[in-house]
Amino acid sequence: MKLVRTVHVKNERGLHTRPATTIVKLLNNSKCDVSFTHQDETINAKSILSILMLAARKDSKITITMNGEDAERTMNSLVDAFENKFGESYP
Amino acid sequence: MSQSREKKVNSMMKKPLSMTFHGTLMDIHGLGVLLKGDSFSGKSEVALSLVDRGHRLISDDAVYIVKKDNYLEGKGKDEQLRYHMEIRGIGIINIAQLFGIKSVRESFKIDLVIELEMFDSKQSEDPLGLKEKYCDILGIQLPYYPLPVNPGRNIALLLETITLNQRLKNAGWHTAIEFRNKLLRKGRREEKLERLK
Repeated sequence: MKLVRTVHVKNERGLHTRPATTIVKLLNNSKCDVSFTHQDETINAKSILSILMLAARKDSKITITMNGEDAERTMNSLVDAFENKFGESYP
Repeated sequence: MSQSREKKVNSMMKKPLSMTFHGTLMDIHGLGVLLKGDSFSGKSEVALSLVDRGHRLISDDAVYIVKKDNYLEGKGKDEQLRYHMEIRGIGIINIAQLFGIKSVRESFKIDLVIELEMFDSKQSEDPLGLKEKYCDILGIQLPYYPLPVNPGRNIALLLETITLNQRLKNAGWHTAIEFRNKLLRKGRREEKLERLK
């Protein structure tokens, strides 16, 4: 099953090391292929270095593409993680 | 300009000249080897092993490929992340710092593609390696080798061997074809002797 969703980065410091680690951990057990597209750049979302390479700042638009058997479940948890700022909060 | 010619020129103009590739680029025995494979297939570990054996890393995880006149050149996309590698269980390491500047290079041409894939007993349809396989990247055909990965195989050694074999092929020496020809010649000689008896 192929799914495509668009999300916005809500974290103040963008997709830095902590959110990137959370994303990779979340996708570690997933059986589908996951890619992020940001400003014409498409990367493998299971690689922390590739996510960091995107250098996506706050409010950047990310298009998530998933292809695989557990795409729906993985997509929902990933979109939730983006919405919850990956558990980060700033005063 | 005729309409069809105009269309052709437009489509040529639209062809991408660069892309970011999920894989690892290494200089092995002077050939640029692009390592491909699913996430967690062990590309970074193999690259680390190859660096330890004296080969050079160009980029791990994401390779920025640019099409030149009739060849492809690969390099790390991001200068700050260049020469870094993520090894599971260790974390992020810097190859240039750990192994010295001799173990890395900024960019390199891409000569062949090797894909690490899970071992499947049905795969060995060409045990002699007579068939040449190619893969297309940005309109350039590159020699392609799918390599079954299973526990106990020394992947770094196998990659070195594939690369050396490719160098022999580039020099006009195809071992599998030579081997087949030797067998054919032997068969013909024996046939002749049979007839003389």
